[in-house]
Amino acid sequence: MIALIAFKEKIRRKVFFAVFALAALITLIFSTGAATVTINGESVTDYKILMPTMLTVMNAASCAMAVALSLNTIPKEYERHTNQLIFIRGVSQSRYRIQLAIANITASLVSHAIFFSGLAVYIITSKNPSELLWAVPSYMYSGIGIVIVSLCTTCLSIVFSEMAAGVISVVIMLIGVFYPMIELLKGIAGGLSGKIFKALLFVLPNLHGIQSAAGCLITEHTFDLHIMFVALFYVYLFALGIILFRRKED
Amino acid sequence: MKISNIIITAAIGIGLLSGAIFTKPFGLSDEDRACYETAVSLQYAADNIGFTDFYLTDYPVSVCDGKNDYVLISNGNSYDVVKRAPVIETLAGTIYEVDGQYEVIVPARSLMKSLVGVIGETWNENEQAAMIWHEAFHCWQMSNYEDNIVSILGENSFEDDSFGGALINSQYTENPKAAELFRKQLVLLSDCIGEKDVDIIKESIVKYKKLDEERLSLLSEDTVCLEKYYTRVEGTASYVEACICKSQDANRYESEYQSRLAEYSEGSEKYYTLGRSQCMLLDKLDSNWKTEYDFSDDLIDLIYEKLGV
Repeated sequence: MIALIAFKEKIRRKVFFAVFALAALITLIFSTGAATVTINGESVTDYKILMPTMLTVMNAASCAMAVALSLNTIPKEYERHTNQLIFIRGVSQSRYRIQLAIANITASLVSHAIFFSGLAVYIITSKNPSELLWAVPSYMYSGIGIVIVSLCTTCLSIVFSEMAAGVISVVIMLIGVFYPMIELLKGIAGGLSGKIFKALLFVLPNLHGIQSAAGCLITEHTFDLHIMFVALFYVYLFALGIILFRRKED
Repeated sequence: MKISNIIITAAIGIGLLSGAIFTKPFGLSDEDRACYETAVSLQYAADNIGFTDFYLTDYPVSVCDGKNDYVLISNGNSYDVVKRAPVIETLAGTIYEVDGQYEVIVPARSLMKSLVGVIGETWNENEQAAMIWHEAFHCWQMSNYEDNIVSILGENSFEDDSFGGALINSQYTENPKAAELFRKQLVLLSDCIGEKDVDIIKESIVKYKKLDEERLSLLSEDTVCLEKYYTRVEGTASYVEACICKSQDANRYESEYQSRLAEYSEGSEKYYTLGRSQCMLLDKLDSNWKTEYDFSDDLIDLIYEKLGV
């Protein structure tokens, strides 16, 4: 019930108009052939190359939206002292926060679905309708990454101020989305920098890996069990964090 | 929190962690095995090229995933995989002498995908196989003609490849006329490769020779030395790589090799193109040139000899 109310409040916000507009823009760009990937200086419009690129762009946008939708839910509720009203009714703070986190996740996944529908449109306009069936499991798989971002942001918003939580969430999201680039930097850098990159790669979730695996479901019809288990473990850890972390007002 | 809830929560965590651990790929990945097997299956294409006794399976192929080397050693119709600590850290293909034998060393395909993915490109199995063949050719060069190859550099020492690249770049930046002449030479070679009339080819090579002499006079001795090295060693390896690619994917061959013969690049890359073009022209003049080539002469000198220029 708390989750439903919080979710309804979210969808009333104008941010979803931005989601629709962005999804439509990205779909238009890729479906009309305006988007191309350059390989060795030559433009490529092949579906098998552009589809993963579009998936990357959609996922990055979904992750950013997940941060935006999840960031101020809990701080706002505590600011309005709604938590005290809930506590009086016998609902524990941790259960209350879990309900708010569920609202955040639901809103993030709805936003992700809007972006993914753009991908579905691209698959159809690229005359590959047979791959549309694979878009559903791909959405579910990539949705795990969105859940991770949402839960991570929610977790951080419990402990830190809204600004700090936002900055840290964005940094974690960017590292996750550009995971291969950080791996490359780790390979090139030595000494302390190399160790720092190595530590970041070990601790932070590989959102790019999740998105790639989701893409492989569509293009190669392969399912990566290992990445799924690792992603679900991160969901588990962040969910635990929401239960265990305390806000100073508690 | 109830004890039962704690137990359930812990069980879920242990279950997910166990799932992550037990599904983690260990050892050499299937995709790297597939790339090696694809490369080995292309021996027929290497045989068609014509370099004497050039076999991929003569050389161990070491796949480096950043943490370990997985050395694939052929044994008849199959191969063994030996795991060891990395002998060198590399983000590109190379060769390395291990216990007196030259080995091909390539990054794992997943690393290559990450590397080229950063600049928005893709890296497929065929490209990995072609890279293996390119490096295997270097193993063959060094195993059979090491003295001739080492003598190209003379008394100069260019152990640091980046130094060579920097030298070439600075020379061509200081001498834009040299770059312009190089472009004209590439165009002439490209035209010759597409030309059927030997007399026209000869005329073009006469022009090429004049341009070459003019260009080389603008460059330092070190740069000329490096050019000879890269053209002979990397140019021929690039040619082998292109031939392998042609047997796998005619479209990729056309877009990445054939259509780029006249393309000028910065650094040492232009010598890969130059050497490849010279090899392709030699194929037109004498298809058996490879059976006797021992890297003691420039490829262009062979062309001059065959045309009487």
